Amino acid sequence: MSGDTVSLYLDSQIRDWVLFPITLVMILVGVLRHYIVLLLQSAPKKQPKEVIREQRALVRSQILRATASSSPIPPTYYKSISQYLSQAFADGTYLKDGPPQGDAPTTPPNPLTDPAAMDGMMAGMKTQMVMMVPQMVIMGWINFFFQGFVLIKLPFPLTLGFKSMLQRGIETPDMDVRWVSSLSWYFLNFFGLNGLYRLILGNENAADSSRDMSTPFAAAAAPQPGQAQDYNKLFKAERDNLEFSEGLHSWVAKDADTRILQKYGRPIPTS
Amino acid sequence: MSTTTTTTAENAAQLRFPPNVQYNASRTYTVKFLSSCFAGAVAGVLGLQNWLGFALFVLATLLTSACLYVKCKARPAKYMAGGWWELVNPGQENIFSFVLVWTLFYGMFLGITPSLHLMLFFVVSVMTTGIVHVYD
Repeated sequence: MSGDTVSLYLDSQIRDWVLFPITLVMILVGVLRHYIVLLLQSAPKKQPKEVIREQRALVRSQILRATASSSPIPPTYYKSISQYLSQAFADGTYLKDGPPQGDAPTTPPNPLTDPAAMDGMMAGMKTQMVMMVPQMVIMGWINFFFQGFVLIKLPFPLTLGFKSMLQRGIETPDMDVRWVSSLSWYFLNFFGLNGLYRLILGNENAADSSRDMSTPFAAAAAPQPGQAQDYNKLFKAERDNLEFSEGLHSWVAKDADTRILQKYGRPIPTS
Repeated sequence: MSTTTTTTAENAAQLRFPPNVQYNASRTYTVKFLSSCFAGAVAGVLGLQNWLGFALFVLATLLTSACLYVKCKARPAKYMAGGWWELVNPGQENIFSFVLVWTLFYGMFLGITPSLHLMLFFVVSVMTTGIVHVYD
């Protein structure tokens, strides 16, 4: 701990003119990014009635299945709805192009040529661009203006490996890693301001940097929902699910009369 | 709870009303974020270093989860998905916020005497309890 007593004395102007401005700029740029993404997002395209009906039919059967094991509807109603849906899926009455003609194999539309899927992918890529450009600009700005001096002392120690990254521009091989340059303050802010964005911009904000890291993986999966899926196959799978849930179905009020009698200790009629 | 249905995790999830769960989750997130920020401020003002600062973070997390537990009337599973671990977990982003605020305040008050440290600590802690009390 002998290194502790030898400490640098920093000009307070450094604090006023570097520390707070960098933080302020990053907060404002984050808010700006969020609003730009909002403006850039095109409204979802209006789908024709058949397409929506197709999607809703699937959702309807899923809702029915969701409460199957403690269902609020009595068995007769459940079975009738379930069988009606099952039959409709088998006949293809809900498909957007009408029931399938003959046994021509239906191929799902190619995501690269289907215009609906392209829109989804373009939107994803646009948001990514908007996210990355301000970060690069700010890093360049910091490197240009705030280079070559020590900004702040970190309250916790780091290994020597971090020295090259955190003390960029300061050529001292002996100085404690805890004295860092402005770029490391940028990194600290980058990670630490997400919570603040969530506070002021609400949950679904576009300024979140943790989203940036996960988008390369999510963008590959994102264009898929609904556009490139073959609803015929989905309906067939849903039929199996419906059958399975029908087996599971159990009405919440089953034998309610017997249960009430039991609860109050009355004799149960045996017939 | 009727005797004929078993309380599976799925059933328990169904019994919670989704918009309420969401509201609870965002409120607890806000509380956790604010508590980690103020913990950072306290750590910085006190001039805590190394593991002492992180110990304060752990302490603040425990204090926050204790307060949340009281608000949940000792039944966390009733108010949010995930039970008690959800209460205690400070969230991965809040540790970065803690470090940010800690570094900020530590850097600001590097060159002051210990007595001034204590005075600032009292001011910050009074402000903290006041704000948290008003918010909740």
